[in-house]
Amino acid sequence: MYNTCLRIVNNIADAEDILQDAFVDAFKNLDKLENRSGFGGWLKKIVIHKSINLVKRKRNNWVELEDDHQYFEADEQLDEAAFEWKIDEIKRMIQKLPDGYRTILCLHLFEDYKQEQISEMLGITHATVRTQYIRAKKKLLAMLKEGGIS
Amino acid sequence: MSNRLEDFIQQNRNEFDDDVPSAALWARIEEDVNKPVKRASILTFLVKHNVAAAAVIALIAVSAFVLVMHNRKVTELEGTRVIAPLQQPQLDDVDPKYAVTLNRFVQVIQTKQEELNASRKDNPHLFKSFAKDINELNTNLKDLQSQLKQSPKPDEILDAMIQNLQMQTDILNEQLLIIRKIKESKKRSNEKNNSTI
Repeated sequence: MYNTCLRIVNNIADAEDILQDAFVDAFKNLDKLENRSGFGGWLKKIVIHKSINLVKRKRNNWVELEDDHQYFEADEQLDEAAFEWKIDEIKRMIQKLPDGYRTILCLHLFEDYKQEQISEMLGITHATVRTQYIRAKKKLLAMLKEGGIS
Repeated sequence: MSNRLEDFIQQNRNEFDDDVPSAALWARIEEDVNKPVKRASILTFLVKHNVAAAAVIALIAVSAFVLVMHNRKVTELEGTRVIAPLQQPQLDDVDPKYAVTLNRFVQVIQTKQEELNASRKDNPHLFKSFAKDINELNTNLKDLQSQLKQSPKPDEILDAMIQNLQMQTDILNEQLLIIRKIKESKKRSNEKNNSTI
């Protein structure tokens, strides 16, 4: 739960504040919890919702597509088979992604949300989620290849 | 686009979750959760309306005292409780996120049990069947707790304990709802009888 939050908000103090808020909200609303099997899932939804709100609040232009011509002008296709994946490197580069890209990438890659669900959660179209996800992944791959250009 | 990045993350998913929050966070959460909610507003009220408020508060306090004494008398007369009170589980070596969650559930359940216990005189048969459901879950909870220390996978046991407490909360909510509905319908029929007399 903490890691999910940290990946989205990208800041330790914010992640801890959100976790604290989410726990307190969840406990105050235990009565409203209807699904018997899902306290953990319910709490995680609260955490994700609060994380997204914080990122949106901090970055007003977060849904707009950033200028990524640096990586996309040549529409370079990176061969993923040639990558030597390293967990620490992937984590480090995800932190360097712009907020919108990072949020969509994390929700899809780590939390297993479908693109339709992400579009509902973020209030943007499915097409935007799809485009942003592809661009986020391309940018991440490019950064991994170049060893950390932000 | 190839899915190799996705595959790698899926295969190594747990290793990406290696950050832990500071130890102080759990203490902060516990403090927040246990904070009394209305104390500040009562104090503000007292300061603003000191004289008149003091009289009102004194009156409320006397009424509350009389009510509590009356209830205590009723409780003594009725003998022991039928619902075994839920004990705070021993969670010394447990991950704080589980400890905070479990303790909070226990507090909520204890409050609801008290509310339900207070109604047993009015509906003794119903109460007996309600108590049976809760006591069964309580026995199950104690079994889980005794398995906790020996278990190679304590997280699974703790999840099961949380589920058990969740079920207790749900059942108590439903039981209290039934009791309230019965009270309302009794009240309505009394009002109807009075109006026809």
